[in-house]
Amino acid sequence: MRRTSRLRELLAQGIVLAPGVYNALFAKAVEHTGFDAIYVTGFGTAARYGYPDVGLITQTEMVQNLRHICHATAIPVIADADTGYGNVINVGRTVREYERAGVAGFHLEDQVFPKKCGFMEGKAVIPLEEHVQKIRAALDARGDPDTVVIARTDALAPNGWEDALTRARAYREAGADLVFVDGIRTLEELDTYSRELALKGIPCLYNGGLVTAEAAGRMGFKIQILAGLALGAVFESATDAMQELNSSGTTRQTVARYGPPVAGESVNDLLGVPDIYALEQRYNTAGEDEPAP
Amino acid sequence: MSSPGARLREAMSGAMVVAPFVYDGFTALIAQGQGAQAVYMTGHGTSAQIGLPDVGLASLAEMAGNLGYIANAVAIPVIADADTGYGNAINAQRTVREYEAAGAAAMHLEDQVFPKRCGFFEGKRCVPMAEHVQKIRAALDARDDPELVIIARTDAVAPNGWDDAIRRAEAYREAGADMVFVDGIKSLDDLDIYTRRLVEQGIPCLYNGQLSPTPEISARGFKIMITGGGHALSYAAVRQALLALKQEGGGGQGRDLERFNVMTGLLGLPEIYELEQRYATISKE
Repeated sequence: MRRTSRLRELLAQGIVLAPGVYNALFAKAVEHTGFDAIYVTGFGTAARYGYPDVGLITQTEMVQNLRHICHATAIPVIADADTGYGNVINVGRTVREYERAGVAGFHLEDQVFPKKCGFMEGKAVIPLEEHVQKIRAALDARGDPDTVVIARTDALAPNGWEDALTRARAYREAGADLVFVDGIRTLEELDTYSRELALKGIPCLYNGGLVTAEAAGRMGFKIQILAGLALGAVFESATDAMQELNSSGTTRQTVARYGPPVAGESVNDLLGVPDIYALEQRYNTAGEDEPAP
Repeated sequence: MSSPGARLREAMSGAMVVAPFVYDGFTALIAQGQGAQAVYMTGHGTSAQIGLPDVGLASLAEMAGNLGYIANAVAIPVIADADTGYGNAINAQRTVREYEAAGAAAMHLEDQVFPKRCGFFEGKRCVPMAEHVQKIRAALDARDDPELVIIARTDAVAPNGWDDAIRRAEAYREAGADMVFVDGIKSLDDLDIYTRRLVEQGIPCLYNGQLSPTPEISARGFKIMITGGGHALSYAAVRQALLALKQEGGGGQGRDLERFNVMTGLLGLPEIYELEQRYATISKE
């Protein structure tokens, strides 16, 4: 089954929980620990390249990262597509590139270009009508009708709830498969989001960990993403390792705290080193003499 | 401003340089933020983050691309894994030029057959010593900046034993390598042989591992130590977070504003806000 169709099948069954990652190794970890879907964060992808999430990372770099992630995994990948990297014409190309990379769904937001992380200060949004056209362009550009198009609005912080709700409804009306109000900081905001949209028949995505996926499902949400999961874990562990290295000259305690490699679950296992060894045997890459018949 | 290679040489003229393993811009920024003098770009980690095992599948373009992001992200010198130079002596020359342009301060070239494999994997094989001597010469000739540090690595301990590894390390140094690097040091006995037969003979050496804490490696006379958790630690931490989410279901996690601010601070967000003010990129109506 295509990953796009698989994502739609999952959405029909209940809430989809997608942990956020930004490279192929962590994506494999998500798949290997038994999750149904992977979320690829733009914030993390930017961080990976050494930049803050303020629209400096290009479509090319996002697509490259997605290609590696999709090659390395088989479960549906939901990707951050920022503003689509320009106007409606750019959106068309973004959709085609994302589909070719192998994503099952992506979200497009109504910020001005260049964008900012949904939780940063100083966000600004384009007119509602302009983003409606972008959503239409995205839907039209799909080569696979099962590709899931998620319309994101960033209007909550700069314009308040009334505008955010108006926008979310308009984007759904334009044909978006789901909507995504980003920048939800409190349970009260999450309740409003649930009451005004998710429980009113509009399929919604929630980005955050205020409640469990089960609770988010009861609140009517279809997808929950934990965008910062991998980045936070890397930040904490790498910082701890550096502090231990500075104080005691090794990183052994930090490594021990996160657990020694588990047999069959090491980085090399996940990356398929045993398969490579088998292939080397099959094709006799060492050039050893054929055994006597 | 002096070149990355010159800055690394200056740092090495004092105490041993400790370069933690990094595999992307973010981990390099974390290391720099905690006061690292230099960082080491791991080929194993660079391959892993694009989903590939470390058996010579990642290309020069992918390695140099990652190096460019890391070197752009930090101000401290970057020591980079250049595997076999991705082919013969001619390929190695292009590798030197690409790495130098990407901002490397140092790079190591190893004597494995192409395609290579991780220094700690089974089944390593080496090219003849004379062939790698030529590759080192080619690499030295290809430098634009004479301060770029060329490190000759030998993988001969595992397949051929210590005598061959010593012979090779001496020959690579004789050919002009700034430093040598015997990889695959698995025990304190190995470390003692490495110390006695090369470091104490006045050959500048790099140590990869953490069999001993940094002060002890420094006391042995090594010039560079590459160490730390790298991508394996990151993977373990991500895996632990995923398993906890799976088992406990998550929830109850509000925004950790303090952590968000430290992370975005490392990534340079405050400087972006300053630039927006200076160039007024957002009109205030």
